[in-house]
Amino acid sequence: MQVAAELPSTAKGWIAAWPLLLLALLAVGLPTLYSMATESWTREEGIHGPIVLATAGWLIWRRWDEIRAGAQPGKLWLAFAGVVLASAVYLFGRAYGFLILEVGGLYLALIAILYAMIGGRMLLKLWFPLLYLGFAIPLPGWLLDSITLPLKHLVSDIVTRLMSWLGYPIVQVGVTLYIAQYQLLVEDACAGLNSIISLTAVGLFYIYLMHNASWRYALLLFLLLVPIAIAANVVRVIILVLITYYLGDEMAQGYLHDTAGIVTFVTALLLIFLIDGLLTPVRRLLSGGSDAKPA
Amino acid sequence: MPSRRDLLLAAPLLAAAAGAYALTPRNRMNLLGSMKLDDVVPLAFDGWSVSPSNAFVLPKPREGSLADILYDQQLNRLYTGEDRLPVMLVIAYGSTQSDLLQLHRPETCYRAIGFEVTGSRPVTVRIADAEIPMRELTATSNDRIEPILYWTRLGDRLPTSNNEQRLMKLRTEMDGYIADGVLVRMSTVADPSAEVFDALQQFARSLVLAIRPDARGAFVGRPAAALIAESASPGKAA
Repeated sequence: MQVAAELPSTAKGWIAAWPLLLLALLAVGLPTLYSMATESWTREEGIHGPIVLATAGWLIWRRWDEIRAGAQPGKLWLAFAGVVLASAVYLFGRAYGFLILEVGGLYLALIAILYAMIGGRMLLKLWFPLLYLGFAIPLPGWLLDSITLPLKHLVSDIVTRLMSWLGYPIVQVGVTLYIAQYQLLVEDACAGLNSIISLTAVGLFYIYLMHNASWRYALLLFLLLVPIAIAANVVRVIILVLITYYLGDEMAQGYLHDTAGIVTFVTALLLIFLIDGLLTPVRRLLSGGSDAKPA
Repeated sequence: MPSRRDLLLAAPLLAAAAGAYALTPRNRMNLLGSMKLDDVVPLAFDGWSVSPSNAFVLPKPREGSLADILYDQQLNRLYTGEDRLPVMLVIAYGSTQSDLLQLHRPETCYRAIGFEVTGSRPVTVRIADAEIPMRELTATSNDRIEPILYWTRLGDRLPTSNNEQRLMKLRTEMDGYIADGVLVRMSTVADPSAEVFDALQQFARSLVLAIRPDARGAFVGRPAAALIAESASPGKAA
């Protein structure tokens, strides 16, 4: 029928039904994937990009049968308007090197196309995977800097207080952390906050998979993500300071290069698991007894 | 036969792909070329000369650090002279300015390492017949006050704020060029006063005039360099 022609089940079917569209998506998508891979994914603040793309794809794929069954093609003129707007944003971003607009335009185009194929009702069912996919849009450095700068100072402040309370000879003087005879730049020490977007993305993914049922509880966990990211960075910096203090500057630089990123990530994940576990009674409460009923 | 739906959804995207390919700037504007900052910037001029120092407010040069990624060449020198204000000169050069890689202005850079930045205002410094837009500011930490004068160049333009910098990058790209960029920062450790800023401006003037004419464009852009060459060529040897 009509629907079968819109959403084929085989690769051959797709090529027969949407030959031009597939070609167009390759023409805009491949260069952008290349730009993202070379300009963003290799940097600490963009390292989650490929993971988000893959997992968002998987989230959509696992519900595809349900989506196919309920698909009602959306209004063509609306989808067309969306694709035109998205194409203009993409064109500007791609030509003049604004990766955020280039990827943002592509993202918008994908949503418009998906709307044309499955309609608004089914699109709403995919709200989480689509929102989550938005994390693959790379933020430019200047924007990220202005978000993370106050957080970096907060982290360094917490570490200084905590460790001097524990009796370590640590002082923060404006630019620098002094630990015994060593000094560390706050900027370098707290660089882990660049990964705050990655941590949020991974946290969201976990929340969605584990607690699909209760959106209230998911919201609560989501609000805890930023404090968790800060706590993970405090752990990272404390380890850095301890290594500097006991093992010297050289070992600390090695740690910064090789393992600091993983330490932040693992700490954040463990904290999410821990908090999720501790909050189990709250979850029961928010889910209203046994299980939340779909709204 | 492609359906109408297929055609309507694919056409804008295909047009965008082709349009982006056609509009993407491919000419590199690389005003420093193969020259080295260390060779081009004179060690002594107009009563100032280089002396060794490690008192710079700078990101630690570390492989993979931000400064390492942003800048291809960097020069840090302390200039002193008899009856002269000691001036710390930092020049950072990046051959490609993109959205993710761009010059960091001292307002951001000093704040990032704990200084408080006050009194930031644009000024125009006249060098021969050229008027170079610069910015003055004061950075204060617990134990140190640094009056700073700096300017940035992006392609042939001289932006004085972050927004201007992004806008000028865009204009340069719309002209079909990928611009290079340079940051020239002069500072000293003193209480900020009109005299100190005047001295910094005087240093900037002497510096630009002391750079050999064929390299000046790399610091102030070609239009300003041409103006300076026209008016300053007869007898300006240090």
